[in-house]
Amino acid sequence: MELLEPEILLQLLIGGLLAGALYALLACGLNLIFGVMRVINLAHAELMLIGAFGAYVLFHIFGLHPLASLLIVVPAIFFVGYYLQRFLIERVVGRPMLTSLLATYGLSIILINLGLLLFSADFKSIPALQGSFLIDELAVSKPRATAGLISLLLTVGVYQFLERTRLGKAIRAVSEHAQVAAICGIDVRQIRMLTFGMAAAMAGAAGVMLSVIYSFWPGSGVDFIQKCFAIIIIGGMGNFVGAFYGGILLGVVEAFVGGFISTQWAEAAAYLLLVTVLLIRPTGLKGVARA
Amino acid sequence: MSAPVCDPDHILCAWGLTRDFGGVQALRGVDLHVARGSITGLIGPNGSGKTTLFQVISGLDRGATGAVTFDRESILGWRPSQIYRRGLARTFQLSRVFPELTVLENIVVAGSRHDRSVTERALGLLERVNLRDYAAVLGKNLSYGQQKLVEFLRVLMSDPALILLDEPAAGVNPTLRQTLWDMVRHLNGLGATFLVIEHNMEVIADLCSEVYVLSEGEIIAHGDFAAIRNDERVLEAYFGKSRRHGAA
Amino acid sequence: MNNYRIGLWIGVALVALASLAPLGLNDYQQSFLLQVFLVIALAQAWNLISGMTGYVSFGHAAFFGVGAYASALLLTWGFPWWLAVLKSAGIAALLAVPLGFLTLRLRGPYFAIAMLGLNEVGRIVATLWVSVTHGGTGLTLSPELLPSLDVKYFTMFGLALGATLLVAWIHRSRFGLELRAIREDEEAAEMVGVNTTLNKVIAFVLSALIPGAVGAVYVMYTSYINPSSAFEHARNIEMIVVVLFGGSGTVWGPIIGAGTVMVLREMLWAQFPAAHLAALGVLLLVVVLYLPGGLVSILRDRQRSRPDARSGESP
Repeated sequence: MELLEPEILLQLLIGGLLAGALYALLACGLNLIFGVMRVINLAHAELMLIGAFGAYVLFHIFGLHPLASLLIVVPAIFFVGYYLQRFLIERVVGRPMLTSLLATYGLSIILINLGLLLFSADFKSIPALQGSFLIDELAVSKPRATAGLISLLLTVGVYQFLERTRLGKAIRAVSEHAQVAAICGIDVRQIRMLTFGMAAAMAGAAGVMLSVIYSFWPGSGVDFIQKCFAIIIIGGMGNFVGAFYGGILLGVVEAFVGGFISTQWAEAAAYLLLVTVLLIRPTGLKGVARA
Repeated sequence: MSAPVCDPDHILCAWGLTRDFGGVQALRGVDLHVARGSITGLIGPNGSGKTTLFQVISGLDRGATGAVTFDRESILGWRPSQIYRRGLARTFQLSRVFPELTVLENIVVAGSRHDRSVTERALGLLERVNLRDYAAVLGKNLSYGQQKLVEFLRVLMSDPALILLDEPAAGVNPTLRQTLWDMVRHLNGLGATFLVIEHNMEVIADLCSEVYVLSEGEIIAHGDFAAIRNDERVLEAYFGKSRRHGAA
Repeated sequence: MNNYRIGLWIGVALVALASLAPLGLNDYQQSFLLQVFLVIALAQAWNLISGMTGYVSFGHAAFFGVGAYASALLLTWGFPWWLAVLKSAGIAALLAVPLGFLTLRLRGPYFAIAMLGLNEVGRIVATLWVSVTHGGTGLTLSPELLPSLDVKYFTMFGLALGATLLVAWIHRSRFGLELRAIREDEEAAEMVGVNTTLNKVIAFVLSALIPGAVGAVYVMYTSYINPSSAFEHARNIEMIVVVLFGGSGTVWGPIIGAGTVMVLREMLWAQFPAAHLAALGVLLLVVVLYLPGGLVSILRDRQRSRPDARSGESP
């Protein structure tokens, strides 16, 4: 069997890890939001696409390289997230989970269709990075390697921020116990805005990374948000580290299913994984037991 | 595992009930026997496992090991609705009326599906506690005390032989509280058995013929109230080594 | 005259109007009404599981897609149209039995997300099962297999009416009371003798049966189906928005919601589907934030504020 040769397996593994790092960046942000405000942000993948289209516009109008546009796009989406929280999400925090689910669903519908009005339903791509790195026998595509490594770096960076800085600790405190945090003098409302801004910025960065690998259109979000759900349910809702491992796992599973069966089935891998996990553990593997 | 035989004088028997929450044992081998027609008390410090025990007996928590028989039938692993229809009902510590259902609907839903006179029965129960005027009010618009009372009335619709009450009087004003305890006594006179979690020792002393004391998931004492109040282990469980505050 | 009576008379009047409408309408107008009925029927199905039982589904279009494909295949195999509708509804319902037992163990957002996934799985299966579905190419039905517009109109009307009557009946029945108790507090409902699993699965199967039949008629109307039109995400959105906008868990809410949304669509943004959906998104946000009870709640609150309101409210 050709497929079982170690080079091929290694190739699949590396491809999976790199793709998984991008998923992890996206899903960790989603879980950060869930942890701090118990809101499932159904518009998370659309925030990512804002990043992708931002990079697209900057590239095609100003000729800015996607990696450079990170420096503009990510802060911009931080503010988008910050004000979304201030004016919209803040109103549904603490209300029944379905309320926030429906509100962010509405937001996602609006963003998708604004995207369609602005950019049409054609697939877009950014031909900025091409070719492959060759390491011995292994060929790793440059865009994938770059996107995967930057995603990994950003995720680890945010993790370190949460672990080490005062602000990061305040965010974790709110995530664990908002009332206690409030008593300890933390401005919970401010923390929520910062958190949503940060998670949105992570999604935006993921979008820029996405734009160098794949072609995309305003409706691309559905696939990603579903994968993210699979990831956060596998990793535990609200659990940052869990989402990281979940993302990596999904990337690797998809790569192997794609390699051994077909790429179309790789698309279904997330759903199969999701369904399996939900059936074994109706409330997810870790994290909050009931909504 | 075959359950030991429950004495016919006991309506409810539990043997070796153990509930493990990922390493934390909420119940450790609880043995409990509730005499038919009694009002039995269940007391213990906060976090001792009283509510967990109710969750297990009523079927809402199906993760326990051990044995439970109700009316000589093993009920561990049954659905809560089956257990209820069999004649074992319970109330919750915090009121769980259905907020968007009317008071009448709240009670009717607990009655038998096949009973044509279910509405009249429900209205009759409301009449007994002077809540008939509230029949069309939504559950969420009642006072907390009224909600707890409605929750209590609700479980009476199945004519239960055994009723588990989880702090029924907590948060209820004194007048309604009196109504509630009078009702318990009245129903007990008609043959219903009660197992009651209650923190007010005067009520326990007044009402209960037998009392079980739960501490850290274990039954540390049982007997009549006079025996319990002087039991060293009970005083220790409640007040630690440096007791001397008077139990009752 | 109480609310129930008023509703009944309005209902009778609407049924009479809809039955006579084909006499005075051109094909375009008749098609528009057909689509209104389609949305009403789907909305009532969603209302049954999500509005009454509280299990919010983000993927009920999956059953619509199954019905559409089943019907297209049955028609090409030579079954008469009415049998195709019945069988498609039956297939959707049968499929819902195991799916219901599996997914209804999930609570709140988990169920919503699982259903979203189910719709996507439907799309993937329709794409990959090329030997039956012709994959992305889709199935085209030749015109001689299809019934006339009048037949399709009345069938869709019958489905909308049937779904509404079903919801109305459940609303007043013991079954409906148990469903509402589940929506309010599932554990407490189970604790007072409601077999929650059985009730939920029955509600789920009924709510799958209707989209199955609607999908079956839809494919006769469009004479073409492919994975993305069968499992269209927009259809899920429409179901949810229409019910929430009108008033979820009520009999009239889905009808009022469907009527309003469809007329708005026709008048304002028929030419711009993206604008239509964006507007639905805005509507969803507005309803969730400012009008949790939907349009129906405005009418009802006016009633409630009348002094005799309480006497008319016996169950």
